[in-house]
Amino acid sequence: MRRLAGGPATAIALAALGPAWVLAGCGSSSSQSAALAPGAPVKIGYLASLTGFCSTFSQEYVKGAELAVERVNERGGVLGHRLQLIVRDDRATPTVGVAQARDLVLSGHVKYLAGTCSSAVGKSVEQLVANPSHVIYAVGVADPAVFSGGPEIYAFDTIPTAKVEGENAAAYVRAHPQWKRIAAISEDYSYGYQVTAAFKQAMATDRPGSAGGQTIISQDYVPSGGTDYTPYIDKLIAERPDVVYSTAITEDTVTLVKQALPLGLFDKTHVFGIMDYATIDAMPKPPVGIEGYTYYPSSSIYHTPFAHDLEALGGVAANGGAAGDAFNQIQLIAQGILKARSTDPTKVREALSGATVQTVQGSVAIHRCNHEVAMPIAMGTVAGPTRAQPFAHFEHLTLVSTSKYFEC
Amino acid sequence: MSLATFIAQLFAGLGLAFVLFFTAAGLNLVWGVLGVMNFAAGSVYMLGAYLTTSAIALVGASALGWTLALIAVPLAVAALGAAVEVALLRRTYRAQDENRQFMLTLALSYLIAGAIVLVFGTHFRTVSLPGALSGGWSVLGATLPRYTVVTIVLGLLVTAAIWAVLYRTRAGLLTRAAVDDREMLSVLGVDVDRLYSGVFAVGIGLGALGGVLIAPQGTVSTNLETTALVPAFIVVVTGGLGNMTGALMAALTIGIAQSFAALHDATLAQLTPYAVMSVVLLARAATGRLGWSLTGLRSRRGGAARSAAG
Repeated sequence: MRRLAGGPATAIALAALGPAWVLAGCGSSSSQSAALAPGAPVKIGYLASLTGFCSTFSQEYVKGAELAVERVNERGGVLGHRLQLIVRDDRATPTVGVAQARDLVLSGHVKYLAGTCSSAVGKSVEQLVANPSHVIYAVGVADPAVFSGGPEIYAFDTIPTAKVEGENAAAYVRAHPQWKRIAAISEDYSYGYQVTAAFKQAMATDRPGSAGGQTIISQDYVPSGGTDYTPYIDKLIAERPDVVYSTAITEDTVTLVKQALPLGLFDKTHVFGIMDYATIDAMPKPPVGIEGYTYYPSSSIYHTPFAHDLEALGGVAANGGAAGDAFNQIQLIAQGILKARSTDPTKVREALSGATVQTVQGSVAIHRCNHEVAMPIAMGTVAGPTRAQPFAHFEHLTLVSTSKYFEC
Repeated sequence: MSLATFIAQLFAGLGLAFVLFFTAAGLNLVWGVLGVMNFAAGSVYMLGAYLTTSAIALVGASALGWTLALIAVPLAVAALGAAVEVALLRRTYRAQDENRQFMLTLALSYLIAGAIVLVFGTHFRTVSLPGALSGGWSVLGATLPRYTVVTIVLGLLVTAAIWAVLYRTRAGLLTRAAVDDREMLSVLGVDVDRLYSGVFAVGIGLGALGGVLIAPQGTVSTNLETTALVPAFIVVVTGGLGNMTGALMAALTIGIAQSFAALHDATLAQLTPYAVMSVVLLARAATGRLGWSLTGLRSRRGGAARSAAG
């Protein structure tokens, strides 16, 4: 293993290499990996919802995690140890997720966990790893309650929470004072309620930046996984809002858009909402001209080395969110170990709190107070396929920093 | 509420009602005639939707492609249903073991779902409509999606066809007679086994037709199984087991009520099917009547069986 040598000039030069430097696996092997026997792998348990409501894109999560492990191992692993991924199906169910996590930790002697698409599973597993297991858990869930335990928690969030998302949407709406009547439509589960609540709170007239005269005239929660949203869309049209904020995600976004198009919703009002590339690409007729945002990693938005790495997965996986999020989770763990120069989870936690890590989206900070990663949000306008990008994508992109939404 | 909103919600409710009715009608037919509660109904609906995506991928999302899918997919699934009935279900009739039938159809639902994941993968699929069915028509200020109108027209035609076959043909007469008295039919020389297979196939085909119609409206994923099964059971229970008229009335009531409830609150809309079912069941328990016509597959005092006997 090559030793990292040299002074500041060398460090600056190496920093310019970005993730390649971080993951060179370099560093002395003398005392950093005292928790593991020489040559033993660093086991990472990955909770993938292979069955259950997230199963549609869970294979992409696994592919992203596997790719990240492969990249780290290609560069020599971490502190002389290769990463080993152990995938378990949590069925998007807390009891199953906790059982799998417990088995990984107790029987598998795993000290690092990642994954799940379900906030409920994430919350349950976070409580498991906090005490007394002391297992690092890198997870991408939107429920802010998962990270409400303060700086002592062992969980790290790799995507913006519903609170950050709602605040960012409110800032966007407030930036358009001509939008007086605002409607919100979400899915009928915890994420939908949380993001709408955060949006409403941020739109309150006594908040700084309020333009005044902007009123949320309705908020609806459509059934997640529903097949007929026509009555709800008709209701939205009848209410004549100036703008509709939609936080339907993935499949439900497709259903909403497909049914809204013939009803003329997009002609009668502004619509903006969360849309990842895989979703808009899956639509036979993408909603061109609609303003959307995404924080899901996409190699076509974020032109970083990690984003470039994702292209190896091809197609939907490369441009969607699941693979990139899983990739980030594994990279966060690997970088934490390198920063801590130890595989001891407690030292890794300390090293990651307040640190800056390299992700698909670039260099992002981890907030010390709640271990949420300040992932930027990309906002833009949906465009149809072009020669340069032969798939539906965003144009007129703005990358919005989300650090300002954290109250540490 | 403006006239435009009323018309829009009414049509949305009718569209929802007929898709509900197809799956429920299939369930009702199988229950009413064969006495089998088909827990694979949701899987059949899902299978119909998935096969539609394959058919459209093969033939193209043109008007011709859609017409072919509309005919071929339900027929193919119906044929599969008939094969399953002959090979598996028929063995359970003699024992009249409802538990065994329940477990068998439940197992079939898992098998179908598993096969779908193996063949199609876990990622959702989408299909587009042909240009002629995209867009909407403006009627008195309301925008009516063309596809919803087509769904409603198709629903009315299929419903009329079901009634015509059941009440105007010998096959329908024999089907109703089988509900009344299977043994008598058998004694009269009617091949009841073949009749049952045919009825099962039609029931399965109707369920698949629901899946064909829902496919272009959103995404096709493994979630479709549960989104179809629970509402179908609600419609069947509300309308009365084996009661086709009841199922139609229930589907229309639930679809339209749900659509108008959405104007007030989305959560209220989601509760509507359960509320309608509860009210009807309570009324039925209190009065012994359904509230709408009891005419269904079960004719009074074996009338169909006597008619079949000639």
